[in-house]
Amino acid sequence: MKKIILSINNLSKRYGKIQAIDKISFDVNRGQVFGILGPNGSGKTTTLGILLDVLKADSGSFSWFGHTPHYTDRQKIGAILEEPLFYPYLSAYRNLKIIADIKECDDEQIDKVLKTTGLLERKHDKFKTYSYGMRQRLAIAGALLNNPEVLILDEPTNGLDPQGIAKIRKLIVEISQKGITVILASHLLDEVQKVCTNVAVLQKGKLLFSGHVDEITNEGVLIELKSNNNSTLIQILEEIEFIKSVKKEGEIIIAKLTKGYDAEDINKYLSQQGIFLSHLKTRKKSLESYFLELVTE
Amino acid sequence: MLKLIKIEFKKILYYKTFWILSSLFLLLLTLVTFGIQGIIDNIINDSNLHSPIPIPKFSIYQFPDIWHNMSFLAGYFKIFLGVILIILITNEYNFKTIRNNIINGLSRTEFFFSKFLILILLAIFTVIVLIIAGLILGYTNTINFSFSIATSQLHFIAAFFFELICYLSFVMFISIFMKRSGLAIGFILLYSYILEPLINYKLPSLLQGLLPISAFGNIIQVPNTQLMRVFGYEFSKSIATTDILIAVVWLLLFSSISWYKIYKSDL
Repeated sequence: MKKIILSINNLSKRYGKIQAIDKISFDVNRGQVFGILGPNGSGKTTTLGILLDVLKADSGSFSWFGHTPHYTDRQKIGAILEEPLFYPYLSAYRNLKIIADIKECDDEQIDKVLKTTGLLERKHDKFKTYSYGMRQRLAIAGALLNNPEVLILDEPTNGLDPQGIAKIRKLIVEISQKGITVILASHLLDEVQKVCTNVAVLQKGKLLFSGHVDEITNEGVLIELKSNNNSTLIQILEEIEFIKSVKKEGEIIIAKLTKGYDAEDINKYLSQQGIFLSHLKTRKKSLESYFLELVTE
Repeated sequence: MLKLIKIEFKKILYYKTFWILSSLFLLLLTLVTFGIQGIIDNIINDSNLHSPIPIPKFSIYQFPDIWHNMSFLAGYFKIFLGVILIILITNEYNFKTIRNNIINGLSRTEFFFSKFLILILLAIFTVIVLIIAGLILGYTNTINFSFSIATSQLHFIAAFFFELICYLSFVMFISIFMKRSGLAIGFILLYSYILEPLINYKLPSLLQGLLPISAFGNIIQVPNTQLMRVFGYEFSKSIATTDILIAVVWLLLFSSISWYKIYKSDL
């Protein structure tokens, strides 16, 4: 089994004056839950559209499963792109039958995926009678047909109620536990942080960051400190070379560390200086604040 | 190929609009083929009331002329068949299910062929209806029936099938570029009945008949009935190779550009 499932190399696409994506490169490995994070219009759907051959790139290349893309690769990829797309006059079951034919898989799987997505009871109802949440779930059902090796989900919780969102997130986690690679595009940072192991951050078509989610959270850890004499503490902290910045938040002092250092290092140093703390805490930086930092920079 | 037929079949099997339009087309074709003799008889009767020289009555249902007559007549109604194809193609853009098909693993070329297949099936359906109508009408109206006479002019049916394929390839081409059914139907009507006749009018006579709608119409010429002979007209009783060749060029052009458009563009 090859480790790299998807490799993207300098992919670019322009719509008239707008550079939708600009020389994007990243790899997705087998078993990852890979998040593509970015605000609306950042190029997430364009990237996925190219990977699924509904859009054509201007330049750059990509490979699925280690070879140049071939349409039969997509039979092993389950995907939803933007909105659920089905024949409105056909029932859910008959819509999935068409997909099963395209993917060349057994019709027996249809009931299974309908059950997974909670649509079994409504399977004979026409697609046009479905609510938005049900349509979205049917799209996921279609993507799950033929036991895909990769699942691509573009804003899967868009337009769903909180219950629906929770269900879908649970489903994504369950799917990834089966070893299926998941590529999830979202503008919701919280969503990516909750379910993804890896992330690529896009803004205005440019790749700002690509890597492990922990790399982001470990990047410049923030430490909360407090002592009886805060002003001396600040003075000493400012002299420490692995501390990037120091600021005061009320009674608490926040120190930003360089990558690779943590609370233990700071504690050790301060005790050597004869300073003892009444409060020491690592504040895990949320992906959100990192993301906001990235996009505002 | 079988896979594509299966998929397309599932798309239309429960599509009411398709069955309603197809039934209407079938009804229309039956009414026209079975009713045309009555209309001609009426016209002759009416004009004989005022005409000093009586026009002789004639049957257009006799073997083997019926094949030429029927396929010429049916040619006027191919736009209705075109509408069915337009709807089946533009639906895929309208519902964006073309994206769904590609995402799930159909190649763009397969998608093109699945629509070309529908085109061929529509033409086969029409030709079968025409053959059945021709056999019934010909058998009941030919006095000296013999198998060899009944089948002697069947090449007109083959030519009609070819004409339909060519015409529908033009319809497919417009549908793929317009993407909206109303727009495609409007354009085809405008082009077929106004634009092309106008352009033809301006063209030197040598080039007339080269444009697609005229070229496809030229494959089967006006039938040589007794009526025509009365007026001294003598039309071709055969299919001209040059007419076929011109139509083949259009057919290749329309289908290859349609394929290229699906193959290359954002969907």
